[in-house]
Amino acid sequence: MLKFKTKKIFIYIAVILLLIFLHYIKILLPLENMIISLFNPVASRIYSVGSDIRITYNKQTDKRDLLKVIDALEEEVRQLTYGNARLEILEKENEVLRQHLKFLNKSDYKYVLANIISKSTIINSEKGEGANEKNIIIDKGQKDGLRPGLGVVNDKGIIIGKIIDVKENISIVSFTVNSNCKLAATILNQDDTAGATEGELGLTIKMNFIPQTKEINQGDTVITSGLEENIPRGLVIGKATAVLNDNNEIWQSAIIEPLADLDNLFIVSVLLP
Amino acid sequence: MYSKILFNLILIIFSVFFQMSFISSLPSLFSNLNFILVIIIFILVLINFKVAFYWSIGLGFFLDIYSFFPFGFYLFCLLVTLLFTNFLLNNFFTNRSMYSFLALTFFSTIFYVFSFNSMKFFLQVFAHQANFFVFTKEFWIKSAFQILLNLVLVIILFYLVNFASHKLKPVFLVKNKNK
Repeated sequence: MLKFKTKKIFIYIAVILLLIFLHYIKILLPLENMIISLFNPVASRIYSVGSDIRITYNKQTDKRDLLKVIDALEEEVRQLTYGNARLEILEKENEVLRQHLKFLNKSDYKYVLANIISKSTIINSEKGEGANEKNIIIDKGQKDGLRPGLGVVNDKGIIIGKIIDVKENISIVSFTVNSNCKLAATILNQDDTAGATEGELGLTIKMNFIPQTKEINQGDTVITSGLEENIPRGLVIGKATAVLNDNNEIWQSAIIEPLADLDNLFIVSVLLP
Repeated sequence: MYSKILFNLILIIFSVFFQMSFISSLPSLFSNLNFILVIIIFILVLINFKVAFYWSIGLGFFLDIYSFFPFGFYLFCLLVTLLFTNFLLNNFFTNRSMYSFLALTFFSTIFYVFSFNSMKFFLQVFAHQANFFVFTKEFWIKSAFQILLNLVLVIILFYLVNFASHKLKPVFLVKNKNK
C-alpha cells in the first residue's frame, strides 16, 4: 500500500517536472502569454479594488480633518517642488542654449502607461532588520518595448522606481526606496552636486558619494542627473531631510525623503529612451 | 466531467488573482494572508489528496507564470507543503474537527514559509547574495501574521462549510444524553 502511494507521489513529481521542462523549452510560452494578456485587465481591476480598501483603511486610522489639511498641503508641496525643479532646470538649460544657439526640448518623453496588477513585499535579509522592500508588477513587458533599467514615474512625473526584470507581457518594478534601486542623481543646490541614490530599508533613500566640499541643505530637491543610460535628467526623486557628514570620510551622504506616495499607486508610466 | 474541470479551473484562476492582486494590495498586515494555502488544506481534508494535488498544480502553474522566480518555484513549494500536510493529516490529525484544522493550518503555514524562504535562500546563494532569513526580525513578524491570518480564515471557512454540509465535526463533543 505504501509502495503504491510512493509510486503515486513519484508520478505527481514527474508531472511537475514535465511542466517545468515544457516551460523551459518554450512549448508552454504561447499559453502563458495568452493567459497573461487575457487576465491582466482582470488583475488590475482586482488590484484597484484592494487598493481602494487599503486607502480607506489608512484614512480611517487617522484624524480626518488633520489628514485633509496634510493631504492638501502635501499635494501643493509636490506640485510646487516638481514645478520648481522643472523651472530651475529649464532656466539653466535656457542659458546654455542661448550660448550655443541650439534648442533641445527635454520635456517630451516617450512613455508607456501601465496598470499595477500585483505588489510583493520581499524581505531583504542582506540589509538586516527593517529591510522590508516592496516591488510592483505592471501589465506591460518586452512586447511593449520595456527592458530592465527603465525609469518609472507616477502621474506627477516623480520617479518611483526602475524596472528590474521583464517578461513578455509583465514587468517588475523596484521602488526607489529599495536597496537594489540605484539612481544617478543631482542635488539642486548652488553647485548641482552629483551623487548616487540607493534605497534604505524600504523606507527612505540615501544619496552617497557627495564630495565633502559641497554644501547640502535640508530641503534641497534631488533629481535624476541624466547620467544613466535610460533615465532622463530632471525627474524629481525627493527632498534632502538630513546630511550625514563625517570629516574623516572622503564622501558625505544625505537622507532623501521620496516625494512620491508609493502606497497609493494604480497607474504608472514607464519612460522609454 | 468537463464541466467539473472547467468549474475547478475557474475557481483556481479566481483564487490566484484573489491572492496575487487583491490580497497583495490590502494594508500591509492583511497582505500576509496565504489564501491559497488555506484553500489547499480545505480541499485536502474535505475531498482527497488527488484533487488537492490538481489544485496545487493549477495554482502553482498560474503563480509561476506571474512570478519572477524560476519557473517551478511555486509548483514545488505547494507540492512539498501538500505532501507534508497530507502526512500530518493521515498520521496525527485524523479527525475533521476545528482543532485538527487549526493544527494542520498552523504546521502547514510554518512548513510553507520555511520551504519558500529556504528555496529563495538557495537561489540567492547562487547569485552570491545570501544572508540567512532566519536572522531577520521582519521574517518572524510576517510569518507570525501569516499564521494568525490563516488561522482566522480557517475558523471562518470551517463554520461556513459546517453550516453548508455535515462533513466536519463540531468543535465540542456532545455527550450522549441517553446513557
